[in-house]
Amino acid sequence: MCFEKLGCRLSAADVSTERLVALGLSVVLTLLVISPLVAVTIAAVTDPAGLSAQPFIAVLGATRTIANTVTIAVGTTLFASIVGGALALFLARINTPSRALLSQLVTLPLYITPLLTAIAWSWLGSPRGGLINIFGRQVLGVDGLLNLQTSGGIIFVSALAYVPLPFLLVSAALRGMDPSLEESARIHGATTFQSLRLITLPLMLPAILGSALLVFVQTMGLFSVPAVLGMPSGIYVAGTEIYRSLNNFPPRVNQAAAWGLLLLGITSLLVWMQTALLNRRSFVTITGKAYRPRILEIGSTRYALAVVAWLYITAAVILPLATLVWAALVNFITVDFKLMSFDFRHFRYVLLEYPKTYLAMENSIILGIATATVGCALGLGTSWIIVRTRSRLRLYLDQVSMFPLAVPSMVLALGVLWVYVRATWLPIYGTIWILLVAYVTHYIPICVRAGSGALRSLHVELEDAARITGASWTKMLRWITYPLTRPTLISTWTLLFILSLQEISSSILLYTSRTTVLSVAVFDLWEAGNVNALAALGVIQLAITFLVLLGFLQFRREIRV
Amino acid sequence: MSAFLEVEHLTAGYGPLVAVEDVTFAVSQGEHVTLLGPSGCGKTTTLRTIAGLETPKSGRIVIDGKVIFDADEGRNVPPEKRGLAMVFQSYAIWPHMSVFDNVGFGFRVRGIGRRQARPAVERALSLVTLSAVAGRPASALSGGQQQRVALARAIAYESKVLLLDEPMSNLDAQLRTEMREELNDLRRQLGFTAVYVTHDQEEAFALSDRIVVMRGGRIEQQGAPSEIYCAPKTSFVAAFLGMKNIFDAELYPISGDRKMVEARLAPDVVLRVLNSWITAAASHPARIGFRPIDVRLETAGAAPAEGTPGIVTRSLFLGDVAHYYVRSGPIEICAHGRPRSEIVEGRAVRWSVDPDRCVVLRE
Amino acid sequence: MTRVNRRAILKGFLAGALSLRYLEAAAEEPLALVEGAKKEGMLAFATSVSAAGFPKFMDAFSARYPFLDVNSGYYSAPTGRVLARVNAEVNSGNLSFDVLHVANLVPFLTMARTGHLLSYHSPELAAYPADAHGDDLWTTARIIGVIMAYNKNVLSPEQAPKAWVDILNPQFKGRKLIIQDAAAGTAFNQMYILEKLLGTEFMQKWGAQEPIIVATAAQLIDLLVRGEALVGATVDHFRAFEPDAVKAGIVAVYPKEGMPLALAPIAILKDAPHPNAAKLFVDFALSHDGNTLLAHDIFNVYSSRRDVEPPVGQLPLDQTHPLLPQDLADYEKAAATFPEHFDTFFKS
Repeated sequence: MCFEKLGCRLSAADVSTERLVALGLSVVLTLLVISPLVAVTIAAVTDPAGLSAQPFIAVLGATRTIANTVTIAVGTTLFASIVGGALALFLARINTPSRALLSQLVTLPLYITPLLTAIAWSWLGSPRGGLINIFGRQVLGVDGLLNLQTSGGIIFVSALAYVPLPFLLVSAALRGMDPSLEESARIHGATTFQSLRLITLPLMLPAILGSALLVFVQTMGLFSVPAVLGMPSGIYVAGTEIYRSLNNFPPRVNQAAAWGLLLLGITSLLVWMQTALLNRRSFVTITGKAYRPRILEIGSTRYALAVVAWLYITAAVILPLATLVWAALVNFITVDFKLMSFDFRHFRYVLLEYPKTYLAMENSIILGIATATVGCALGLGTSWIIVRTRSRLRLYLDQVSMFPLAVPSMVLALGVLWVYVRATWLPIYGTIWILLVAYVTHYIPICVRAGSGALRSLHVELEDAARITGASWTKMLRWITYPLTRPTLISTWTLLFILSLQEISSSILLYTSRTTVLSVAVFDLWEAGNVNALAALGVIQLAITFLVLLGFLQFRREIRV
Repeated sequence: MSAFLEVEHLTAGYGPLVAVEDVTFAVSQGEHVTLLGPSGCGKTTTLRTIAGLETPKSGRIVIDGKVIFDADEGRNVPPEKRGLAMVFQSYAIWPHMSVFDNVGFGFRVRGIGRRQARPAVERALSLVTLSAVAGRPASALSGGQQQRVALARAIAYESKVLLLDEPMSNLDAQLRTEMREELNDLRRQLGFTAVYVTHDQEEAFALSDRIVVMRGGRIEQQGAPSEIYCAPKTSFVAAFLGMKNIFDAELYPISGDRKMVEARLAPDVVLRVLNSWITAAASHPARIGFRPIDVRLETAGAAPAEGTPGIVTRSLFLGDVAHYYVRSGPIEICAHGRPRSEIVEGRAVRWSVDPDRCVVLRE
Repeated sequence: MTRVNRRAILKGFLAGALSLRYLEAAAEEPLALVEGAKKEGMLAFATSVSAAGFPKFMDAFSARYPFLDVNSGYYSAPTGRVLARVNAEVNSGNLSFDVLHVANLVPFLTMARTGHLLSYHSPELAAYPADAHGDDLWTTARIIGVIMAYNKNVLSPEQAPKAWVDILNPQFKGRKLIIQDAAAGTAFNQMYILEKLLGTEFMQKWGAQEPIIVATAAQLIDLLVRGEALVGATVDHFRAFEPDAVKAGIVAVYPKEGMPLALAPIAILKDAPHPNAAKLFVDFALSHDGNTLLAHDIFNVYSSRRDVEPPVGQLPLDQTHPLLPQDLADYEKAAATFPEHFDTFFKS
């Protein structure tokens, strides 16, 4: 029996399945996304006595911290957007030498947790003992070359970590732009530069603004970099304030929530503004088509552009990694070459003696697999309802699944903590599953977006053809939809696994000693001043990440051939 | 007429692939020349090299006496300095600017202010009958309107040559016919020189002063539409222009008649063809072509009994015309004509073609 | 500025520690406890002691009671974090820990008052002076002194500070001093006592020196070793005597005005999930062998047992000019607002 208004795609039985699934997903997503935010809001306006404005007053009084937070977020966003956008232009549209290789290298920081980058740079750039400063003193005779334990240092290191985001988004936009838009400008008299300025740049604005907003939201709630570079200098931002509020005795729980709510307010406002701003001018330049981008040939300046890209890669990837590996292998930290000796003692310590290593690795891997799988399943299911059906819950699902984009992950973790600490009916507090809840909630937007993208590019007629030939809904999903969306699913799965491996902002609030994960173990070692063990563990964490990445790339190559 | 645009021995390609090979043609001032051919024949590449959007490997391009590309001299003028205008297949209207700003772009990048440019822009817009939408954002227009904006933009700022890359292929049939008329009108009014690229033969005929037929990167034939139509030189050109009946034949001289020869398509299929080939007495293998519309059909039995006998194998009624397929021995020909109820499948007929409607083709 | 009440008590147990050779009554573990612990199978221990040294202690305990799993429930983090975690669990009725041991007396005083500690009279308490434990609820298992330290490869002994007031010298301004932040128990104890002793103005001037702030004592020593700063001003005293630190050039300074003490009590939580195992653990930690291992051997700190020697290389306690808070009520109240108080001096 066919339902006319659903275009004959679903039979009666399927409609009820679909309704059930849509309803179920709505409940799940509401629980995951909305309940923590409600918990934070409630906690922010109460204190042990009842409704109170005290937490908020305390927070708003911390003007210095608010100023720091905003300054650092704005600075990082500007820096990352400019560098990322410029690199996108250099590598996607200009005949920069080795641009294919550079494009891959520039995205590497996505797979390196900012915590490790911050720690490595703190060893390089701490005012007196930093390796760069020692080098400056001994070799160049210059003192105080670099001090990264400042707001500027935090901005610098955070931006290094976030450049890949605008880079990827703007590159995609550049590649999705019809090259004839630039070509017609050139024909009608515009020089290369005029064409870039009058045509390309304005058309890239949505992508630039979109990525800038993502970076801003994330850096507003940033924890790792300010913890490493800011706390020693007494520079606090919202993220480290939340951490401090919860880790002091007695813990200032409501104040932490107030900080969370403040952040949420600011980021939500900005997201709303951005949607309002861009909705009015919809630039339909990003079609599903991938054009062959027109590469601008610009003579010998292109070598300078390649140098810029290499500089970024050096600062964001090569230097930190080299420093970590060096610190992991050198017997003790010294810059005296005569005293330097290398062996694997720190790896031996971390792998054989340090009690937290295996527990952390095990937890991280289990969490990674669980997060990636649950996330992909949720994402595919939700995006199927959104893209393929006309369910009335479609719009709601779409909005709710994008919500976490506007919420810094630390705030989400706070909410998750409070929702479940009292929920004795769902005893996940103190277990690994509460971390799963926090991770999945944080990554839902990625999953749903990837799923929607995959489903949109999968022509509905392919599925219809299956149905007409006699396949049921589930058979169609299994034999047509899933195999054809599998490449995207696998990429998303891998990305989620890697991201959850490096996650620290939620983990630092929700972990217990039984459920410690690699990032937290690294942070603990940092707090314990155990520099070499920390480097060794960091190297191990990165090694796992890259193994997974390589495995994925190899797998992808195989399924293509 | 001296050539305004000269393209000499142009060779272009991507990597090892050669898209355009040794292409030479010229366009006079005020002329409309169309590059016609199937996809992949190199017509778009040729146009883009003239525009400066692609760099040929060898050859020379001269516009209005100025050398804008010469591989030997190493000269390559960038696109913005060539003084050209172009209408793209996708129109390439900039969505973030208004219609007015789109059309006036050529002025803006040359530092000419809005006020100064206004008369020219408004004139261009009125010529394409879009004055009403001047202030609207360009993204709010329909396909047909966008195409007109693209045209207006091309004619607003005076340019040397107007390049058009399949500008009608995204329009529906009716719009296409309208736009063709408008384009012709514009050219009559403004007198610009145009190089046009299309795969649609009808379009090429409607718009062009001369047609350059391309295939596989090379020029097959160039000439005025009627010339190419009546005297295609190769089977490819003939087939491309709708000459469906192309057959191998042996040419035999007719004793006593030097003006005609006999073309033997099959043992029982003999046509008389105008002689442009044979001088000797011996036979000569060749290819013969004639158009379906030039085939005359008579039902067997009707007097006079001339032509080749055959049986109707298929008939298609298409309204104004009908297509008939007639088999004579190993040969099956196609005939177009007004529908006749007596010509049905299985009917025995006789068909004939006037000798001056048959063409002898080179390979 | 007088140390009236506490002085007497201090003299009391110091005299005891030096003079008496206490005969250890081998505490026979009551069979009931062991049987009970066997059924529980696990001990969950929350402490602010770093993970580096503790496994040795836990191993010794495990050797005695191999049927107890001590690893799964073990949680160590800086004092503030431990307390926050325990607090959250206690408040939500979801307690997973049995025993608490942090270097800050205040939480124990508070929890004793609110009834969150389990009363247990360990047989070992006989070896402790009366004021080293509170009502069978908590016992001081370690005594940490807070001193200064410097790296002699970076700073010459002549220039090194000798008294607390010396850290106010201009040569130590601008990231030349290191202190631990408010979450560390030792920071609270030191700064509370010093503010009472030397005045709020001292604290303000100290803040104006712009010291580096770190989370743990280990991190502090690490930075000193690397020459990142000149003087550590909030040093857990035993850190400065660790062989690796001494080898790297760290020198401890017992300040002239006195050494603030941070008592590190141990206690069983009221709703501990494994009370029998907890009691065995406390007995062990407070026993002569266990406490010697804990205080003297592993951590080089002072024990409050009368029969345990001060660690090698360190001054006996009474020669260090020890300082303790006088008004415990005020002390407890100050703890509640210490993080904000700390910020008024040191936050930028």
